[in-house]
Amino acid sequence: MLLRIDTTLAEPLYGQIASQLTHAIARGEIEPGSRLPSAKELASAVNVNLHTVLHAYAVLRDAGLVELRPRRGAVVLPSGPMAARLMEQVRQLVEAARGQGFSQPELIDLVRNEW
Amino acid sequence: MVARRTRLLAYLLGGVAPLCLAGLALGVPVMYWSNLPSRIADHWNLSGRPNGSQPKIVALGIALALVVVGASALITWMTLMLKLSRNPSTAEPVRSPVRSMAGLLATGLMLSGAGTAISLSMTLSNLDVNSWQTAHQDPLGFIPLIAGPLALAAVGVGLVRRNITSVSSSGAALSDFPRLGLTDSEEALWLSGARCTWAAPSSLVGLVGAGVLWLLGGHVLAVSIVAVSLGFLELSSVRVAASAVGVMVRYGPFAWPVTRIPLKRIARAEPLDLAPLSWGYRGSLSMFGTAAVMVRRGPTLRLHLKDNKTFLVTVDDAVTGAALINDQVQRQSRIS
Repeated sequence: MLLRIDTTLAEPLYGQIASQLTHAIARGEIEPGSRLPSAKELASAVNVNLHTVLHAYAVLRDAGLVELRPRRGAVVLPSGPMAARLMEQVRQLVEAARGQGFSQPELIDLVRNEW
Repeated sequence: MVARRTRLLAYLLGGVAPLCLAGLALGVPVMYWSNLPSRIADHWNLSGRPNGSQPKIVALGIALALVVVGASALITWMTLMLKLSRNPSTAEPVRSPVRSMAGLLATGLMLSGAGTAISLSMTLSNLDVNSWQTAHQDPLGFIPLIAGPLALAAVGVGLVRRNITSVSSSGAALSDFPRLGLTDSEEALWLSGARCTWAAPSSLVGLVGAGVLWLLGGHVLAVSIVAVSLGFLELSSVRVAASAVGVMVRYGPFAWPVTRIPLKRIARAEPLDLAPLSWGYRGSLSMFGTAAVMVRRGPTLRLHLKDNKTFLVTVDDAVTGAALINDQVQRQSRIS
């Protein structure tokens, strides 16, 4: 997988890292059970602060994509690819709703009604 | 020019050398056959007195067998080199630099050299003696037996290294290779790897078999099988990371050992598509100037290093990896 971040984009760096890792997990480029690179290694490779990577990994953990284990780092969960695909679909939904002028409460209402 | 030198060296080291060595290993004992006792001394203590013997046909036959095994390696090496020299652009698996076959050449020269040295040494030490007990060898006679084959291999590999540097893409500019188009505000990390489908199951079968053998008392064989199985396991997968820092290669399920090649050492990278015989760890960066890590056939990343050395590793999506490395190399050269 290719992780590419751009410091001139409006999206924060941790968000760029998280979304690209999500995309890679969704597409099966990073398989369940695989370890993501250590935060230190990733930070050094893309020249960002260690906390930026840790923040990105926390986002992935909160979304149910990875498990953060002491000394083993971030490991992709078996349900990770499915959760990642869902996360991407949610992102597309939010972007589409924003594009059509929906507010956050309106979108939540729409989802709740559909549920 | 390179192709002509390649052919000449191939015939010299892979054809003439094994013929000469086999001729010596067979010819000298045959010439003095009647001057040798029926059993000849084949092992010596530190003072040069014999402490082991075998029928001369067996002792000299084993030495000759060693020469035959070495000659087979040399003939294989010659065949691959000739194939390469005829069509360097398509002659995989040796489209990689000629040096990647140096390990095969060194092994062939060492084995055939050792067989010849043993055959000559046994013949001369047992010449015109009544029985093997009265044979004598110089206490330091083992030195040429070891140093001779090593020197032969070193000369052979040295000849190849001196005369043939690389074949394909030598002298090509960085712009001829794939690029990613990273802007100055971008940073990137490429993660990839490759897996061998049969190596891990084979090693597991080997380990189970070794356990059974150990229980049955075959300890030496069991330990040997464990060593081979662990070697298989190490080459069952490989993980590669490339970034502005350089390239990092991790081996096997435990991601150990690790090969690190800093970016400042890399001249350029290119993707290849390697075909048959592509399995194993071949060569050595420090000894032969080329190392190839092959866990399967197919896409492979080749790194040309600034000190004219070459590193190959099988990876999925080698094109992206090569493109990223070339971008980083150019960025670094611009900065420096």
